[in-house]
Amino acid sequence: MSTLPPRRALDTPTPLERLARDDAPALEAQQLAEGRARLLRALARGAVSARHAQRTRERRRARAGAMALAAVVAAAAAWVLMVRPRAGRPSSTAGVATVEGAMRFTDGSSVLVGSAVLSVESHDGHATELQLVRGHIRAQVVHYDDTRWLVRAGPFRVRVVGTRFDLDWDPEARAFALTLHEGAVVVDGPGLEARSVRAGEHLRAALEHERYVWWLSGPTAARSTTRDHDAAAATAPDATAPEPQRDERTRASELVEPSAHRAPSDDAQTGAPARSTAAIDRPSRVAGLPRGGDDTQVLRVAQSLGYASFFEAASPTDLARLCLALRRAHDDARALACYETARRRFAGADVGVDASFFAARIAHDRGDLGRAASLFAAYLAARPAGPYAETAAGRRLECLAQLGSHAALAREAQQYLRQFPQGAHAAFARTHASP
Amino acid sequence: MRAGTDGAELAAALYDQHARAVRAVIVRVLGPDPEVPDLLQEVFVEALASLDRLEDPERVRAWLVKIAVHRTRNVLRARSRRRWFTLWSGPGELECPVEDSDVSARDDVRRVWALLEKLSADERVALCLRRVAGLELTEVAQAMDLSLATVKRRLAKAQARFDALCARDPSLATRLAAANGSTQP
Repeated sequence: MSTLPPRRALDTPTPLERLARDDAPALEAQQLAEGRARLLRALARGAVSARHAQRTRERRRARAGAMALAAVVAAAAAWVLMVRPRAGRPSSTAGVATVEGAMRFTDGSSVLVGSAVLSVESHDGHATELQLVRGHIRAQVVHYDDTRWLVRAGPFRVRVVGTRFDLDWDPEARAFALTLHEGAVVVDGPGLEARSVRAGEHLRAALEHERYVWWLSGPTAARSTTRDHDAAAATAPDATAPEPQRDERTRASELVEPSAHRAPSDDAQTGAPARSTAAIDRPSRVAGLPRGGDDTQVLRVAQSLGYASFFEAASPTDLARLCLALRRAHDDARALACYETARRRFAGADVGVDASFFAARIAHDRGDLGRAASLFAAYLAARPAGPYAETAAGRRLECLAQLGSHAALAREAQQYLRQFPQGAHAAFARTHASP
Repeated sequence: MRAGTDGAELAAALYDQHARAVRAVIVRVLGPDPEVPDLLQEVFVEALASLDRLEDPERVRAWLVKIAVHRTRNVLRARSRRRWFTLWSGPGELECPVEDSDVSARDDVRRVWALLEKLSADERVALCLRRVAGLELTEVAQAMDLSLATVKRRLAKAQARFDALCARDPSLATRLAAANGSTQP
């Protein structure tokens, strides 16, 4: 018995074959990267060990033994908790590690990672480069004349000479915080170049109205920088400072409360100004949806502000992104409200016009045929040759047929055939083209 | 894979070498689903946790694909149960990931994934592995841990069911007819 499809036109894929072509390199790369990061995090959590232990228990019940190789796997998972120290400088130890706990480097430096997500971009005898993806780290870097240490956190770069410091990066809130306990570092970031930070100083940056605003506190900075809000703002880069590296779609009007900023831990040795830090704390505001965030993140951000508020404040791009996330989440009611807002706020613009189509599709799928037909018509009126015109026209035919609007159906079926003679609904239109 | 090397390196090496193929299988069965990265992670964690079960190191990829198929089938079964008990409507709209000039075709892709939701997990996995992922029958049998005869029976049943579902959708029926060289939808 053959399961192959019957003879077919080679140029035309079947619907199932069409699925095989339905992939995007960008999505693939994103998913592979996410999967990799999650795998490494899982390893760091000891997931392999836990899974193995579970399997072992299961197999013990069935039969004894067969644990030797698994012990190797468990040991390998335990290795993830640190970058293995070796004697002398390493010739090369490059790769990505996302770990909980401590990382010890062969030059004697160490980083307490905690629950942060930290990636080792490179580490060899002369240069170490880390990427703090999110969270809080505490680093102690041993200085050598011929070595270079760099920690990236979002758009910020902390060039380390030899020091002990705490570093926080919250990519959602776009909040950066550095507390230096010993030594010196040089920080580069949007609006600030080669800013030296010395022991006892605390440097923070947060996004305000599309620009990063800096606060510096500590023994030296305190003499020149008042810690009230206005004075803190006065330390901000000037208006000509370069824009932070972020999505152009964000606007100052899109205000979303950030996630809670994690204050650096106190350190009695350094006199790091915990109270001063608190004194300069204020609710920072971050514009727009998280760049590159998945649907869950998008919905969480919108929910934190309140959907209604977000609908009214979001940029066209962000509003479209949120509508899509709501639609994918099958939150049809909110998705419809989102699209209705887009139609109202951006009438005539692509986002507003396209919203008519997507709202119509939701209404159609929910069986609200009258509403769907009306919205499809609105889209077609605005974009008769738009990217969704064929689908809109075809679906409107379906609506009209189900509504029993025979005269309109015949008229629009004829129009459909004129405009889309090879369209997906052409056969359907032909059967209804005669009144 | 060298025993005694750093665990992260081992995992990363295994992942980098095979993740693309594993993902392809998952995506071909599950569609553009937000759970794909999670499934990728689970497959490799499962693989690393059961390396001792790998009988032939030369067949690592087939072994990973088998784990991926097993995991994906479990996801589909869980969703089916969830849908049954809670009227849950699915993981979210299966939005096509890329822009396509043929927008109606994109719409059709979405509809096809929706139709596949109506098949049983076993039918869907068999059908997608064969017809979407393009695996040979023997590969499908191996990935699903079934005999060749069972796979053939399951595929025939899944295909018939899918074709019947397609026939009820005007747009898909047209496409199917065109693909089959027929003038009738």
